[in-house]
Amino acid sequence: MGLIVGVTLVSAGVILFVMLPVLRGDWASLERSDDEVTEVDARKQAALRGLRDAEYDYRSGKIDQADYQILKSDLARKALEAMQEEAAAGNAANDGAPADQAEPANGGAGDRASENLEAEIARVRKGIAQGRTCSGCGHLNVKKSRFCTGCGGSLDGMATTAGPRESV
Amino acid sequence: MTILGELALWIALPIGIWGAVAGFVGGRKERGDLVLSAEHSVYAVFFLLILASAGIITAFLTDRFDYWYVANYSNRELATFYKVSGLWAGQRGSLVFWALLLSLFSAAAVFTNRAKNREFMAYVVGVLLTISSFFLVVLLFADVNPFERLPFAPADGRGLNPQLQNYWMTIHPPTLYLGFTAFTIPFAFAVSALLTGKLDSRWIVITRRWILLSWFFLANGIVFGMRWAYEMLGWGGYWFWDPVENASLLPWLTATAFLHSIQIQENRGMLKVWNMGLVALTFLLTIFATFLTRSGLIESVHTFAENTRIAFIFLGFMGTIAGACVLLIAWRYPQLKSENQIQSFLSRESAFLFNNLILLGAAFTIMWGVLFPLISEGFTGQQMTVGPPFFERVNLPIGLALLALMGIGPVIAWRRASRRNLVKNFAMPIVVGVLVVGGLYVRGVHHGMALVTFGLSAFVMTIIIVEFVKGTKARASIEGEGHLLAFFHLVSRNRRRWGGYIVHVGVVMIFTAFAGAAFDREVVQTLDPGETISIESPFGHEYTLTYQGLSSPRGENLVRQAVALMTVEKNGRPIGSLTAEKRLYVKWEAPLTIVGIRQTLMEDLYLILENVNDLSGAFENEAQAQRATFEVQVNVLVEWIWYGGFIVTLGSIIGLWPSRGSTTTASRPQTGGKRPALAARS
Repeated sequence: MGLIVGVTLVSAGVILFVMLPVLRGDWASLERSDDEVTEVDARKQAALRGLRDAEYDYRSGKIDQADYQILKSDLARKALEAMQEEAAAGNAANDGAPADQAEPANGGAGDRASENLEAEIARVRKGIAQGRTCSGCGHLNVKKSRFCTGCGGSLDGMATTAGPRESV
Repeated sequence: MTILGELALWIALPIGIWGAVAGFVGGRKERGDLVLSAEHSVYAVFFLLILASAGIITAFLTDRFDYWYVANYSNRELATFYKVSGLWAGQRGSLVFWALLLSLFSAAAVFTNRAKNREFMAYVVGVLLTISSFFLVVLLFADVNPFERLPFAPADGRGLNPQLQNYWMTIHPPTLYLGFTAFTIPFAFAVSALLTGKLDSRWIVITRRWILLSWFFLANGIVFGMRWAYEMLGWGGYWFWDPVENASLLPWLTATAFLHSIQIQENRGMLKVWNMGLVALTFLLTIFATFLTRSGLIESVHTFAENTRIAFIFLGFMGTIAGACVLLIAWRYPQLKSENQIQSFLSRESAFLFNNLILLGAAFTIMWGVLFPLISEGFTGQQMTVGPPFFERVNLPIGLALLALMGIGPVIAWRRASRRNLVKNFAMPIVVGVLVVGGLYVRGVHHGMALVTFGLSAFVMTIIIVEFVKGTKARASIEGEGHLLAFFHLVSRNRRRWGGYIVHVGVVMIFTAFAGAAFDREVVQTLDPGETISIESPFGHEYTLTYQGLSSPRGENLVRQAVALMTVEKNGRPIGSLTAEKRLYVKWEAPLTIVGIRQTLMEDLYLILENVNDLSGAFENEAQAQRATFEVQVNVLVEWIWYGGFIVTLGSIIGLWPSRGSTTTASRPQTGGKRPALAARS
């Protein structure tokens, strides 16, 4: 008897739990929420990650300066395109919504990750701009170095001559 | 509880089928109520499978020998420890356990995605419940129901296979099964991406941790199995190219390829079709591994099968899944075209592609070796065995190529690497590798393949160390941080990359250990008490083992055990003792061999009691029944496998560790809304 009651209760409970959304008309969302990574976000982050890795690869001597420049401009173009698409999407959303309800397009978790990457890339660029990376051989020199320990060349005046210092 | 468990299986099947249908229809018709019902079905199936598993464990703990499964895998004297693990000791319980773990991961995937990635979830749930339902159909209709009753209740059960009465039994199979089942989640997201047409890299970003989690469990499961074999089975080794060992290696190989190739898709928008194919292949191989272990199609130490009929059911299921995946990929092919092309042979993309081809090559040759006996039987009527020599001969060059790529990959930049930089970066690691080879040769190591392996290992290790040093220096310089802090931030800011390098260190250690096997020594000798056996280590010293005789204590669930005691001297200096055993278990005729191991970092002294001349007499402690045959081995560098496994685990955990702001973090559940007006949806 106890078994029959137990089995009945379990069966009824499970069936009720499963069918409740249909009976009550509860709906699960089937669309992406605004604060998730979009396809454009994913592209932007991939480009920014690529930029960060390229900076490290260049500074650790894995790629030549010429290749680095090509790579950097390609990745920067992709990141920029993604950012422009994002901005356009944000403007379109703002146009279609009351001003007090419109959310910025870059308010999600994906953008927090992008911000982290952007901040890191900015730091890398700052390091290059301070003249510690030799424009001649790409060697990474310690802070306040005057001569490159890789090729012996002067590091003075790099701010105006080194290729990698251009902004991303 | 047991009957409730049995009924839970019967309730779970219609719930699973309903949920699968509701998921697919809900996704197709954009019916959020059906999708929510499907998600509730996932939780319900999980709950019901907990009840079913609890029912089986209760039947074991209460010695319900009227159940066929309990009567065949337990007995009254079996330790409680092993009664609980009876859930996965045989084919029937294992299938329930597989379904339970799948439902656990399904519930976890639905719960963690309740507020995000919603556009994928309808079909994800549909796929997950379809697979769960398949296992439930097999359990209930293929004569493998673990709750099947016998017409009578035997006084006692047959007992658990003695080879399974080891603590690894509670660790190794569940770990492997966790790896097999976890991979279903990335597969379900991939199918959902194909069905919804959302074919950018998001499904990969969403499932990246699931892929790594599955890989982590598979890697650990394989290493645990190696350790179990080494400690327990008494065959004097850790890997035998047994069909089921091979089957567990196959999804690990393809999952490793997948872990590398998704990086190409994420970074370069390439290999989309390849990745879809790989995720489907890896999932199919997890099913294949389960099927091979539990179908009884191929005999192996692991195959605790009692019903070969389900082999054909599994084959049909795998064929259907494979066919469906091919059709889906063909349907979406135009959207799966690469956004870029490989620009240079000297690029990381190229290295990863080679890595993929080699890993797949290894997987297919191993699969060929596993299936060849079946194929030959089909054509000639005679089953031919494919043994370790085939696998070793084929996989040795493959393994060496992989080892070399582990060093080359990290040094090459994405897109294009210049030859000048490659030469500069490779110069020091090559010099180190050559010096290691030269040094070892001078010290008397003349085994060609081992030297190549040691040289490549040194090459890869140097590259990884240099990578860490350069990365830390770059970071320290850029950020103005101390080197320790810079190292910490370097790893923590890009865990996948640096965690991956740590995994590579572990793999290099394991490869080095494999090469060490070339120098193993062994001696077989029959001894009377007081006699000695000597073996020279490849490191120059000599071990002398003196046989002290046999004793026969009585253990739990044992009829008898004969324990041989050996005292051990190294170059004439006593260093301890070793024991090796023959055990005879209740209701099992064949005695089990338990080895004795003295472990050190460079070599293990490994003692096997091969044969006791008069085992019955030995069990009775008779003085004249002491003569026994021993095999003594010196196994070189075996410990490196276990330390390497630990480092692989450490690297995987670093890769798995969530980083701030790196994932989608929507927290509000996107459920609970009401049905929208029809006009609004149309």
